[in-house]
Formats: sequence, structure tokens, C-alpha cells
Amino acid sequence: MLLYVSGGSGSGKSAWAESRIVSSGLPERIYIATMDPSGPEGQRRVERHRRLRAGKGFVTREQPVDLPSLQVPRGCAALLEDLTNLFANEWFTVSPEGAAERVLRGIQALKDTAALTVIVGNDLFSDGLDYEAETRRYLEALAALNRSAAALADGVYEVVCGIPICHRKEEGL
Amino acid sequence: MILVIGGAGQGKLSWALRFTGLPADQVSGRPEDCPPILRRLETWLKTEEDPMPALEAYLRRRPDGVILCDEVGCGVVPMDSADRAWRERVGRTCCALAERADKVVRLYCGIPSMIKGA
Repeated sequence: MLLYVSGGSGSGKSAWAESRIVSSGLPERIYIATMDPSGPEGQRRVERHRRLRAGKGFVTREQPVDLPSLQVPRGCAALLEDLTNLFANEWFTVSPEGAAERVLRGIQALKDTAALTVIVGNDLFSDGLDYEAETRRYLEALAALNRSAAALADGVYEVVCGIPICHRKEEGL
Repeated sequence: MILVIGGAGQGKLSWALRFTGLPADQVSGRPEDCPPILRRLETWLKTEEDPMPALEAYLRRRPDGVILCDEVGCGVVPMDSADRAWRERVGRTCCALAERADKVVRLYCGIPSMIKGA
């Protein structure tokens, strides 16, 4: 079972993703962390997410790049947070070439191994601003990746003000 | 309380005026005015780092208030840290308001969806 959840900044998407993992009742919970917590603001964000997860039984695995190399236990619940960071790390620190394919291969592997995978994405596409060509190319690739991840997903949700809006309902679980 | 959200220009104010039947002079962007329709919460939040006390006070006097807020969190992460903090504050404030709201309405191209309390 693969769920894709997205939303804007401060929308409550992480809390919702965690609650799906916890309410699944699956005992083995893996948190796949993708963020490089450099700088005070990065630290604060990481700290905030750690507080949110505290006491929920997650084991954290740092995977800023190369998701396909990650091995998770069969039948676990895995939370990938988040797709945007993972993709940015692949694109900017490895190579734009094949970045989306590497990420998608990793997602497929999680889907095949974990009993439940929840992927957190971000909505970055509605500010109506113009960006230079390089940034546009990155944004287009990210949007395409989000669509591909959603296409692989059984359930697709958007969280708005903490409220989940279902765009595709998964069956079972 | 009803929370009305949506992108800029999606018809939140028109919907709120239609829904409440109130005239346009019953609208303000300042919680301290205690208007029946409180609009542009996102603008007010630019200078309010700790918004909940003022909003609690508003809701005590206007438990049936209609609060309008632009969704601003769905763009590229701003370069400026104050902009990032504001954007996140708007999101978190809306989460807190949505939790207490009787209804949450999201406007999209002028079309309302009741996402809470249909």
C-alpha cells in the first residue's frame, strides 16, 4: 500500500502522514529522513519534526540521496519525508540526469517491501511567479515526479488546514 | 465560526457575503474591530508573530464570525526567512482555526467545497 500526501507550507501534511502510519497498527515504523539539517532554520525544522514523532515508535533512517540503496524490513510501515528534499538532493548534489528515475526506483522498492509507505510531497506550483529557466526546469521536473509518484500510489491526499482531501481513495487498510 | 480559505481571487469574500447576507460594510481586516466577516487574515498575520491571543479574543466576541484567509503555502519556498516564517505561520494559524471551526469552506474558481462540517 502506497499513499501520496501533499499540501502547502504549514498545512498539517506531516502530522496526517504520521497518523496514517500510527493508525495502521504496523509495529515496525521507519522514518526516512531526507533533509540536510544545516543552518539554524534547518535545525529548528528537524527538531520540530522530531518532537512531532516522539513516542510514536519510529526508527529514523537518514537517506538524503540514493533511495534505491535503502533496505527496509519486509512488512514495515515507512514514512518518506519528504519527496521534495530527496529530489533536490539528487538534482543538485548528484545530477539532474536520471534524478527522477532514481527516486522513483526507490519508491517502487519501498512499495514492494513495506506493508504501508506514506510519501510526503509539497505543493510549490501555485505562486504565479516567474522564475528563470534553470529554476523552471527544476520545478517542471519536480512536478512531473510528483505526478509519477501519485500515479504509483494507491491513495492520493492533499492536506489543507489539517483537513485531508482525498483525490484517490485506496482500497483496504 | 466559519473558516473560508482558497487562493487569492477565488471568490472567498463574494461567497461570505452571499452566505451571510451581510452588507460589505460588515467586513474588516482587523480582529480588533470585531467584524462579522474578518477578511485578509494572511495580511494581518504579516505583523503578528503570536496571533492566537487576539484571535481568541475575537472569537469570544464573535463565536459565529466568518474568517477569510488566502492560502499562501503552495509556492516555491521564499528566499527571505521572514517570508518563510510568515507563510508557515499562515498555514499553522489556519490549522488551529480549522480545528475549532464549525465549517471550513474552500473556494476554487468561485466554487465552494465544504471540507469540514458539510
